[in-house]
Amino acid sequence: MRPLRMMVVDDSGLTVKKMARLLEELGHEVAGMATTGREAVDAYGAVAPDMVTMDITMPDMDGIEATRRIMAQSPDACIVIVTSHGQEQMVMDAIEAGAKGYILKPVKKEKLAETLETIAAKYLP
Amino acid sequence: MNASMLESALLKTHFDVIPFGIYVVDVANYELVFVNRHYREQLGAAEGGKCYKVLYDNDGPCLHCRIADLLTPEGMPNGITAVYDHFNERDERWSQLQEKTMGWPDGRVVKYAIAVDISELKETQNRLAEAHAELAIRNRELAAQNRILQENIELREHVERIARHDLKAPLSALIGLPQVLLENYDLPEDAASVVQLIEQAGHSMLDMLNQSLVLFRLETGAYVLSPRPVDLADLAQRTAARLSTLPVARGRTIRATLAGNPLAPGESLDYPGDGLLLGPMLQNLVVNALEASPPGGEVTIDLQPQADQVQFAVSNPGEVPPSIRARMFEKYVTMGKLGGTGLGAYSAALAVRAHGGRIELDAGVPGRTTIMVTLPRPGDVAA
Repeated sequence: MRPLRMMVVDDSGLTVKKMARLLEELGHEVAGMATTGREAVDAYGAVAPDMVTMDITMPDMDGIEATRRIMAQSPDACIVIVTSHGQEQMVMDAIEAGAKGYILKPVKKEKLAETLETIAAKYLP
Repeated sequence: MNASMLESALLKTHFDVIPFGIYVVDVANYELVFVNRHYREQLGAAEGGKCYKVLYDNDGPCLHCRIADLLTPEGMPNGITAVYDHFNERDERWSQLQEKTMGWPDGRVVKYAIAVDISELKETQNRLAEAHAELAIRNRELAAQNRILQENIELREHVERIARHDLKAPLSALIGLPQVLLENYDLPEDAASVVQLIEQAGHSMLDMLNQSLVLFRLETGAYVLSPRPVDLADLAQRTAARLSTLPVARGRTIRATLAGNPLAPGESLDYPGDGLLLGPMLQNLVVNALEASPPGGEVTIDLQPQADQVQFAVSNPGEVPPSIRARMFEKYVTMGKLGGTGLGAYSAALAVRAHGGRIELDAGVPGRTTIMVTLPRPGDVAA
């Protein structure tokens, strides 16, 4: 697949670093990072990524609300939730907010690659 | 060793033999008071460090911290045990945590947490949750597609409604009133010919409208064939007679035959089909043939009944340019004639296919073009 411009959102600096490394190993470019939902919403327009990986539990604004707001501004946004929350209600809330993928931690490289590829094929030009 | 030190040593010994990670935190300042052997082997001497930094690699208290839930408003142990699953970003392992507050022998209020590694169990649960999420995403996509489909259906109904009522009703006046003018008013010759032009224009508009309506139904799959007897011999004769008088014939002749012989008056050939499709189909093919014929040429419609099918050949002098032969029955393909819409042969092909038949171009005879239509007799349609 073609290299994607990615934005990584997670309140754990460690996770952001790990995710960035994984994405780069898969041949993608990490064009932006954010550690809160609010930062992600504010930065989205300027970064204009092809895809976002979004944590749920974050200070300031959680990832579901951030997804909802980004989708409201940019209805074509491709957001993949990457979280440790697997409860049904959380999953449904995220998808209702507009998430196009849902991955549980710890992130496996193959699962990440497969999810990005599926979403890119469906939604990206 | 005083009593509290003894008690504390005893507690630590107990915690050390438990085969899971246990840590004890001062609830007032998040300082690690004790970690058991299990954690010590991983983390080294961790006591004195902040739990959020040492255990979870966070710079401030964790978002999942439950200490507040385990204390009374006065900051004393409330007896509640918190049990929850947690993913540790530092070592990427899942734990089930059981946490409770208590008084530590030295007088401090502490929280102790027992962490059981459940990564393997979580693996299965997580795959299940991901599958569940995927299903929900597909459902959402399906719902969006359904919405578009529904909008298309509404649009189609809207277009049909416009065509049927909104356009056809005023058109009937445009077609009918010229006759009234011609019959009841003594119009000067010039005016009468203008009125006739109006009538003809109305008719061709009605034809186009009917054709586009049928096309629309055929293309969108809304058409269902309900066969009724159609006399193809009569249809061929009427089509030939009507088109001969129209400007499109311009001196060319049309001859309808049955297996190559002139059709006798009253001769019939019943075929179970849809006259509303077959009529315009034949007309389209004959009009195309007339337009492609050189002046003075003869267009023939030859009906060839067989046991299991009816064929008819519409033939004219002149050749279809080789460049468009393969695409002849595609939408919007014209032979470059003025005002051609490229819909005639296409809609004829759709009508033939709606009867389960086939339509082919036969350019085998140099200097002639033949369109061969084969309509199966029902019962053979599925074969």
